[in-house]
Amino acid sequence: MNKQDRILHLATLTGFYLLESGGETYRVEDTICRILQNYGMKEVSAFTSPTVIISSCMDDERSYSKVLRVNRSKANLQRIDLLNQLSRDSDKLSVDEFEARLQHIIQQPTYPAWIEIACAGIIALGFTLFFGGKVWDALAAFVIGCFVYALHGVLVKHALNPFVKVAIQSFVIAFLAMVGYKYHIVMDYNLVIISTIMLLVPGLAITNAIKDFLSGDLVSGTTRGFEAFLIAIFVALGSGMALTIWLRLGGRL
Amino acid sequence: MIVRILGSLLAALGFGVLFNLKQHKLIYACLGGGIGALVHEFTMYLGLSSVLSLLIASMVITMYSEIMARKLKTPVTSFMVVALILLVPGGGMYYTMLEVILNRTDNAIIIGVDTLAKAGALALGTFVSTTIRKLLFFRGHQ
Repeated sequence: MNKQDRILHLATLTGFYLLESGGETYRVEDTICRILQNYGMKEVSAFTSPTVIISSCMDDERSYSKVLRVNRSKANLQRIDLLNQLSRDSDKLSVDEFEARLQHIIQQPTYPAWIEIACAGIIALGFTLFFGGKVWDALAAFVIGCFVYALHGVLVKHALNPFVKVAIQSFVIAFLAMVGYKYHIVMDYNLVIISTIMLLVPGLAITNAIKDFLSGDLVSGTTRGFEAFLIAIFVALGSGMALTIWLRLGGRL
Repeated sequence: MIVRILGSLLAALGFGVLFNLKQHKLIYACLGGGIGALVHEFTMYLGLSSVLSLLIASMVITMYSEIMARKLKTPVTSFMVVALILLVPGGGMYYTMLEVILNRTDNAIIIGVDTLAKAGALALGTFVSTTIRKLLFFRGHQ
């Protein structure tokens, strides 16, 4: 690979990891262009939608271009921060150093699984208190939250459609809450369900949609906004299904 | 009231970890969530409508995020996501669904529109704050 191709590849790869970890559209485009310019390329330009990155640049002889397909993975704000910093430092780094640092950032560990599961429980617990629930309900929400996040880990391995995944989780939440209600563990099932459902709310998609609209990226903004809307629908669908089955089985609301 | 703010801090902390924030950034993001919840509670206490208080809370959150992002040289998103997610009207969404299931369509429409208005208020608050910042400081993205 000659030098220009390598620079374009590295810049686009940085954008790829940014977008994958949940970066905004303008940030991805800016980052790619900044890196390319810092390494002396001309006529740099990049286009990003939530699923694809197209970038191109020129040197004195010819133009280069690259397309990368992106599949969203887990949100990782720490990685976005580090990559952002890397792109700003790129004028002081050689191409080799840049690549080494990029590799280093990619290999940074995330929190271990048990901490994430416990935190999912803490989120549910915190929301129950925030919405004015009793301590007992908060503890029930903690258990359900932990269980659902662990379930999420299992569902991810089966490569399900993200919307179906959310619907299944929300179904399990409502179902567990109703079972708890029946055996008098849960006092206010509405509150417990709402608090735990907040785990599934597409916070990053909403925030990114807003920010994309703010910076004029209408394609990404619309896509992400619609994604958030669909996820909300599927969350309602899942818990609604559980409650309907509950009613049909003769339970009371 | 104190228990509720404590709850919001806990929830923000949890989301911070799930979004893989580290060290002092986690603490500041968590604090942002607490401030947002506090502003929301306070404006509700003053008797403003829930949509208006969400608008104000989201404006405050965005300002806080922009300031902290400048200070810590971090993307704004890190702080904004964690704080905004606390105010997303998940409850409204759930109750809309509940009314649909119970065949009370009129109630469902009322709650549904209210939920949409709340979500819109969150977005609008961010818009207003960011626009004010851009007008005052003439600076591009952070």
